[in-house]
Amino acid sequence: MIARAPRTLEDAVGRVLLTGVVVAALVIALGLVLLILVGTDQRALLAPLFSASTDAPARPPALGSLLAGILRGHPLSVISLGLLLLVLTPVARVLVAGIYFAQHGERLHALISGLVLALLLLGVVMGATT
Amino acid sequence: MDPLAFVIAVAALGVGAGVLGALFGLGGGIFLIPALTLLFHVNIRYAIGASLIAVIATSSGTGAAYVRDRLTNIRIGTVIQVATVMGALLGAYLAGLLPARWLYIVFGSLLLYSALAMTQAVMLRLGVELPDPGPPDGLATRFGMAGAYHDAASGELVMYAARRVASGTAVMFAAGIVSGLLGIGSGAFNVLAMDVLMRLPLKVSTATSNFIIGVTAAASAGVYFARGDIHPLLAAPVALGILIGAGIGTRLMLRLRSRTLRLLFIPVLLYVSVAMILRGIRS
Repeated sequence: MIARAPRTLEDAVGRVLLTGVVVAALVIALGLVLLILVGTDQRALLAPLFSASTDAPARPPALGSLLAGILRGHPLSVISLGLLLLVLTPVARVLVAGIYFAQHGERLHALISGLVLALLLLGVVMGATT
Repeated sequence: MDPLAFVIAVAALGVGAGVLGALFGLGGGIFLIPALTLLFHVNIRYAIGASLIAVIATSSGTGAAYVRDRLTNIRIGTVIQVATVMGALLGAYLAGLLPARWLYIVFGSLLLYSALAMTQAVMLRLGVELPDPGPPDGLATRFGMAGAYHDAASGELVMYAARRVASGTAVMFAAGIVSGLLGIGSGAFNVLAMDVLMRLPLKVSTATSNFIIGVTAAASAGVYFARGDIHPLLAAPVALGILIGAGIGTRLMLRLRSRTLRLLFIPVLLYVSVAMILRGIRS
């Protein structure tokens, strides 16, 4: 018996997706539990959701204050971190597949993966300048 | 509504959307946006933001299972995701410029179109369980867009290769624009392009659509985060519910007959699309 089967592309990508999903779900759940324990005014937090206004909502916290909020254990910041990890999971699978293609001489697919990562980066830049 | 009850109700909604999204390769946004706006009266901008998170959760949640079962074709997904990601960036840019009323009408019309296209596809290919393995086109050969999987339902090894890659990819680009514009995975268009144009087996189309909608949604997520459309208290229960639902849906898909499911799905799509259009007109 081989102790560890050689990793295929499917194994590598499947593992990234599963890890990302599990970690993100745990962080989001932790944030929700914290929110209930802390006992903030949840009604006020939810109020904007039902506002009929279609104007642009209040600006979200900047990345710096998000990090500070996580360090202080602020429930909403912890939830946001979990959501961020969830969003990064598909990005990570593009990266892992790209590395696999590059290592196995599939130059065309490695290049395409690189292009997709560049486009995703452009999306972040678009977000930052919105 | 009591905040805790609201969060639990939204999570339950997420479970349902996750099951249906996993089965149809659709991402779940198609069910979530109408449910959140019509039942819970959530502002459509937040509903779209939560839907974007739902799409990513469905994609990654189902991806882990479908990749393992070899239903997802990663090489095909790698190639066509370029078109959907480019479209998504364009759509996300356009979304900030359009008023909510028109988003309702556009979304409803697209749903209606999907339902009609799906009806046609089902009618045309009612007796077709697997596509005839015709010759792959030049692009498919060049990009390695072929594969095989073991079908649990029939117990056979199914071999396939993509056809009409160029027109399939063009539809994907349009699907990407819709995705960025409305925060839905636009999986209906993906599945139709892979199923009808590229002639891939339905299970491969569904799984590969689920695979690429996540990265497509991630492309526009930066813009939505920055605009403040992703409300953590709405997105969190949606994400958790979806992940549970997707786990159930991936197990179901192997057993259920997709043709039956599609036939059941068409009236749901018709109803929801008409409801959304009416809402846009009345607002």
